[in-house]
Amino acid sequence: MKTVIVVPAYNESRYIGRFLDQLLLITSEVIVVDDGSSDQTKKVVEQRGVQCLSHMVNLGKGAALKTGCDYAFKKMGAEAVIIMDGDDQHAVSDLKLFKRELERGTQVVLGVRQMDAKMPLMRILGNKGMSILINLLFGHYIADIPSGFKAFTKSAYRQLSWHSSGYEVETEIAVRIAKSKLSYVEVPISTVYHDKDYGFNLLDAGRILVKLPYWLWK
Amino acid sequence: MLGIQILSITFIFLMLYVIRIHYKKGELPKVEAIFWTLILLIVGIMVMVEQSANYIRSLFSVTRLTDVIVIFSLMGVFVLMIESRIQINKLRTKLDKLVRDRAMDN
Repeated sequence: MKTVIVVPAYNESRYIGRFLDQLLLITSEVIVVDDGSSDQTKKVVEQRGVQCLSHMVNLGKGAALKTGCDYAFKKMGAEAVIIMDGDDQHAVSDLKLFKRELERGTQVVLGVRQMDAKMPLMRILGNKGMSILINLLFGHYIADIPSGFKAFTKSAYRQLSWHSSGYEVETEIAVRIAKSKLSYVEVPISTVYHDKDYGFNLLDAGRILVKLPYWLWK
Repeated sequence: MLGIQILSITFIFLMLYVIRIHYKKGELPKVEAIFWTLILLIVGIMVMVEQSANYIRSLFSVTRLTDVIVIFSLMGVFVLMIESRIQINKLRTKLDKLVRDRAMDN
């Protein structure tokens, strides 16, 4: 199964180099989508010979993912994509877990981080709260909704087709998985924490709560 | 003339000036410029001619002219808010498509 790694990146010049160095040891099927960065992200990516799609302006993570996935499926003939954040928080050694599940015929694979003492308490509460809310509304408990490490097949991508341009895309994907009949599994992933730790903050939560009724209906 | 009347008239003249500038720059269509000018002139007459307020009060069966102004202002704000939201969404969709298509073509 031809699998392409899609990496959205916005001002990641500090971390993306070392992340790509590790990733290229495992696979060369990689696309980075530079989402209108104002730093040297594109240069760092191109120095490593990795294909870089550039957004002229910053559109947000959802739009960057869409560009990368569209390109992988339509222009590279991919049968599945694995998406990873470009901030070096994901261990490339976990890729084999995703590939194995895709080879088994699973349509969607979701990475789940350990919510241990390294994760800030507010983030744990925010993430858990969102998982419980999605479970109440859609009947599926997805353990780590904001995790950016996930994979899906071409047919799953067609069904997921999200509209969110920003960071709320992770929640929209979770909602679409919960509403669809797609087969999905969750795999535990190791996470390297540094200053660019992602999770839901109050503003994200507010934005998501406003959009939930739309996703519920659409 | 009351202080509130002076303030209102000053505001109206300021807004008429803003409309004129945007119209001259071609940023405001002629029809829209005329519409806003008329609205401001009507408000100006209402502020200056107190008898006109009596007619409006009786027309809408309210005791205070302020109530009419507040109701119409809220209606106007809602219309503008919804219209702005629709236009922003349209522009956002077009921009997303343009930027994404260009990224994939290059």
